[in-house]
Amino acid sequence: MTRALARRVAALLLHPATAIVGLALAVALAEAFGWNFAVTLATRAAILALAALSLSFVIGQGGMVSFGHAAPFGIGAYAVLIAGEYGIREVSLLLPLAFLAAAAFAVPTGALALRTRGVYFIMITLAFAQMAYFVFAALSAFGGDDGMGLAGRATFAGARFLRSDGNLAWLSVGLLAAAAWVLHRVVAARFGFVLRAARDDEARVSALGFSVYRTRLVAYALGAGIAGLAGALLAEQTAFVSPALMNWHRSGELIVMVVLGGSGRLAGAVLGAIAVVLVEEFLGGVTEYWKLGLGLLILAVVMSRAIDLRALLARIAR
Amino acid sequence: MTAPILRLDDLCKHYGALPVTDHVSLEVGRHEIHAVIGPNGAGKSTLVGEIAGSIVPDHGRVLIDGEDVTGESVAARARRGLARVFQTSRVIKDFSTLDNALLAAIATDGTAFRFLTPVAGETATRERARAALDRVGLADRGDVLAGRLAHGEKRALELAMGLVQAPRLLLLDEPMAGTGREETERLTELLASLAGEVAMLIVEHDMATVFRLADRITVLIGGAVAICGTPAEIRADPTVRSAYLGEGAP
Ligand SMILES: Nc1ncnc2c1ncn2[C@@H]1O[C@H](COP(=O)(O)OP(=O)(O)OP(=O)(O)O)[C@@H](O)[C@H]1O
Ligand SMILES: [Mg+2]
Repeated sequence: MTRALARRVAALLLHPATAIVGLALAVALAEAFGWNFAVTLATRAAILALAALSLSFVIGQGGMVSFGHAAPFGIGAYAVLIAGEYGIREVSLLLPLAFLAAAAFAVPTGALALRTRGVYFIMITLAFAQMAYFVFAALSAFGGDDGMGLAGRATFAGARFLRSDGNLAWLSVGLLAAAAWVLHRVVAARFGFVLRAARDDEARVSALGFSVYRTRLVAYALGAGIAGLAGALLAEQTAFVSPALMNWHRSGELIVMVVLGGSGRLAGAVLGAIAVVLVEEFLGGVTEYWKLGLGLLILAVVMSRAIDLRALLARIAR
Repeated sequence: MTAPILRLDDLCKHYGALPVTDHVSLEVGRHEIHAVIGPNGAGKSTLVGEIAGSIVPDHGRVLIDGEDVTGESVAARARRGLARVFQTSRVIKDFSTLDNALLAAIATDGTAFRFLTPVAGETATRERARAALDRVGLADRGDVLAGRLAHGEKRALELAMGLVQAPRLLLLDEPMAGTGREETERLTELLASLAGEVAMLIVEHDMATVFRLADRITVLIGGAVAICGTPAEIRADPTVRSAYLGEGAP
């Protein structure tokens, strides 16, 4: 009896929608009590969850293990910086711009990368991300290696709406929820159906007459575009953009979030991202070796023979 | 005069020094069932691959409907009305049986680029998928994961996926391989019922099936066409009899 109830509660708690609602609640509470620190943390979690969600779509649904997802993420951030330098500070322009810039990077690089498979695909996506890293590190007009601060936070419909950390938090959580909803729809629609089928057996799907290459490329660009949105939000939050955003560490961290969340489950990445952000925040404060803690978390997940964090928590709940 | 649905024009393919397709020319008429038989390693699957577009020939042309498609992709040829049943079953293992048929039904509509309408809501397409399953005797297996189907059922599912595409040419590479006697007979009757409706090129070792279905038979030995003719001609040919069919041939 109690066991069944515990399992029910665990299932509810671990539902991806719950994670997003939880973030929203955290923001509401933190705002009500004036805990600025918690607002910042929840915003960061929502932003990284958005990036991880987009990578989960690419890896889990598309079967494309990209080790360069930090590139579109960083490009979204640079889109905000560069547009800002040219006087564009309107968030309703900046976000589409960041999306398009990141997707525009993904189309030619993805077109080449998708000619390869397996380990080669992993390596070539990494290589493209490193190229992006060095290109932006060389842009001295935009801070070069050191990066550069934004002139100020963006406006919304002309108003200084995003000056408030709380409003930025709501925007981040809102975009995360919207992206989760859209991707959920896409996965259930033809596009996601064909994408998943091609992940399982490419030859079968092309023999049916679908262009697997084009389908994957569109998915790859869509994932990149959403990562660009996350990068733009992070630029707004920290008011600072540097090539470090595109570091391969970050690509790896995003993969860890996806794997922790269970790569087959689209929105699991949200939970994975929240876990990583929390570990980073609390262990990062205690010790420089916080990554050890992250490593232990991953080990715990793997050792428990649960394939992901959700399954691990469900097991503990049982 | 209408062009044959398929024409192979002096097709050649080597793997190293080994000729696997050796100057093969053949035609499949619009309503013809054309069987390709030959010993193991004769190059039958390679020929099917060259027709479907997954294997590029060294030389020669493939024409569908009179149009040269030698340079076209697998997907482009499929959109011209080519459907393929692979020698080793290729179904989407993680999809249900119905979803596999649905995938093929969607392919006929031509586009994967529909982003927001749930597949579950595409009732007309789903009905077509269901009808195809019904036709091959899998009506009550729709909810089972395709990876869990028995071998014969997988073959039947592949056939359903081929049928639901309403192809103009069905390429069948040993569709009966590994299926039981009863199932083979059932699938053979099913294919026979499609005669005249869709052209077929069928590679098959089961001679009862071949002689029941084929309008014409091509015998492939060492990559080359040894003989091509009606079942009666093939049966009567002494060299084929000794080289391939053996004494017990029907
Ligand atoms: N990719 C390849 N590389 C090298 N040799 C190959 C390759 N594919 C096939 N072969 C060889 O080509 C020959 C023809 O193979 P194919 O699969 O077309 O024969 P088949 O007539 O379909 O045989 P079976 O009746 O066993 O299915 C065989 O000798 C095979 O070993
Ligand atoms: Mg073969």
